[in-house]
Amino acid sequence: MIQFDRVAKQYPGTGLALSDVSFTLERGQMAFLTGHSGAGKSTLLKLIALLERPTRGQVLFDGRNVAKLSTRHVPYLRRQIGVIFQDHRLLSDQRVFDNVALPLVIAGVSYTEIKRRVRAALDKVGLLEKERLYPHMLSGGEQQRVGIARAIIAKPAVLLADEPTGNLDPELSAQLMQFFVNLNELGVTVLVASHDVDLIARLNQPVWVLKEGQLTHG
Amino acid sequence: MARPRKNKRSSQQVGRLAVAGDGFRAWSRHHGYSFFSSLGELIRRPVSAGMTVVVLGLALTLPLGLFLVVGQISQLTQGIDRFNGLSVFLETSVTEDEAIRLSSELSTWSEILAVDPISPAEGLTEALGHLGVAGTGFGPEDNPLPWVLEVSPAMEANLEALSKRLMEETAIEQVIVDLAWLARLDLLIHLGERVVYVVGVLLMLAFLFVIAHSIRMEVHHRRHQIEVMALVGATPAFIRRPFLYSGFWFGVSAAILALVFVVLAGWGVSAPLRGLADSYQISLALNAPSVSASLGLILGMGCLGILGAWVAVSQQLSGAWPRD
Ligand SMILES: Nc1ncnc2c1ncn2[C@@H]1O[C@H](COP(=O)(O)OP(=O)(O)OP(=O)(O)O)[C@@H](O)[C@H]1O
Ligand SMILES: [Mg+2]
Repeated sequence: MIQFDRVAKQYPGTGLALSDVSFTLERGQMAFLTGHSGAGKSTLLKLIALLERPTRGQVLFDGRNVAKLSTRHVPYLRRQIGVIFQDHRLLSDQRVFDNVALPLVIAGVSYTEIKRRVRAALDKVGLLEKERLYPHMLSGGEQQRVGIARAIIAKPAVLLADEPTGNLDPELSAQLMQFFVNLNELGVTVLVASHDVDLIARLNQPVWVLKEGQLTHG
Repeated sequence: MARPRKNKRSSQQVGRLAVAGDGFRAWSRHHGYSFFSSLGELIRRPVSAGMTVVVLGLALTLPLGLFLVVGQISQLTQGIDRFNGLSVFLETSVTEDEAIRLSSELSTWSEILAVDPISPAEGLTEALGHLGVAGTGFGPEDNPLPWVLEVSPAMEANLEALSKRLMEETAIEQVIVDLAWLARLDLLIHLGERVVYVVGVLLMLAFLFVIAHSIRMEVHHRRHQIEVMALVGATPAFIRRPFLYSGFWFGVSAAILALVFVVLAGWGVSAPLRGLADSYQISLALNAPSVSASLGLILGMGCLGILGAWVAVSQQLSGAWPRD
């Protein structure tokens, strides 16, 4: 599903964030990505969703080189990927409901369907009663969960989560990770970047470690 | 959060989303969304949106008002063309009987629509009335005026040829056609129309740029939102559309406002204008534009708004789009 072939990424004005990364994440597979802060975890995820372009090497999505994808096709690639951002990336001027609904609105789903699915997703992340609030009225963990609901609402084939438990308490973190595992069991390809080594270790999934711009399969 | 078993269906639905909402229904839903989100944006920021609309409305009012005034005046001169025919002065020796006979003879000419004989006494009264010295006791015996025939030419008549032919009549002393005056007025009106076009084009450009500028600010203001939308898979068209609707709303509301301004201005000048018109015995009023013209204006300005928004958004989006 996702394949990196000797990928390097250099941001303008800084050193190499990734120097030589190769891996394959099969369709329906799940993996965790760890590494110290600044190791390039977010960068790796951004390369998949085409939020960044690789400096060297190839990123293949579903067998296609994303670098060759024209700008016109980028939105359609992104719709197949649900991303949970480290910094939430919510629409500050829209209510929780509308934030979660956004991918469905973009896909042109009917309003009744949107309503049904958004409610279901909010229920799943325990925020149903906050659907009318704005993001700034929520705690960090709650905002995180809005982002999660938005990422899964459109039932994407691939789920990328960047530090999804960063703002959650241990119990909620464990629940969330288990939720990702269950999603994966249902066929979703999942890649989760996380610092929480102890939690990850308990989940019995492959763990990849980013270090000095390189990936080692743990 | 951990009730995944209820989520059985998602495996079958995975990957189908890309085509889930294609087609006309999705398209119309997108438009519905853009329509309301653009309105919402304007309503959410009523002060800045309102100020923009007022500026746009004022920019439109000037050319629109000028256009109406010039239109009125040119209509008026068409009236003058017809009524202000020829003043045919007869010899002072001509008697009443002769004058009446001549006038009925002239009215049979094909180039002439009607002849209205004015006796020296009537002429005097009218002249004195205009001078404001009516009833000062001039007797008919002192009246220096000749009989005058007010000749209304047929619409298609050539005034110069007609006046030449009239001059051949022995009883006719002089024919006065103020052709030069009419020609000059025509030129003035023509100039006025040109001025309206030039001012109109300039103000249209201003209109376009004010809208483009407002939308630009709006895009800039919503940079972060735009980025988020792009991140979750919105197409540039989807992102652009609410702004195009905003431009449309700006144009439409500015046009409506300008029409209101013009109608108000029409009321404001109606009393003195009527006084002026009455003194010339003509009807002159700053009429509001017709319904179809108003609708045309509103739609046209809406389209101009879309154009302005397009220019602004396209130019801004290329910068706001996250590293593609
Ligand atoms: N937009 C950017 N411009 C320039 N440099 C960047 C940018 N984003 C990341 N970097 C650099 O790339 C390197 C990797 O950053 P990245 O965000 O991928 O790390 P990370 O592993 O996600 O860290 P953390 O665990 O703190 O989130 C860092 O050294 C950072 O300075
Ligand atoms: Mg990171």
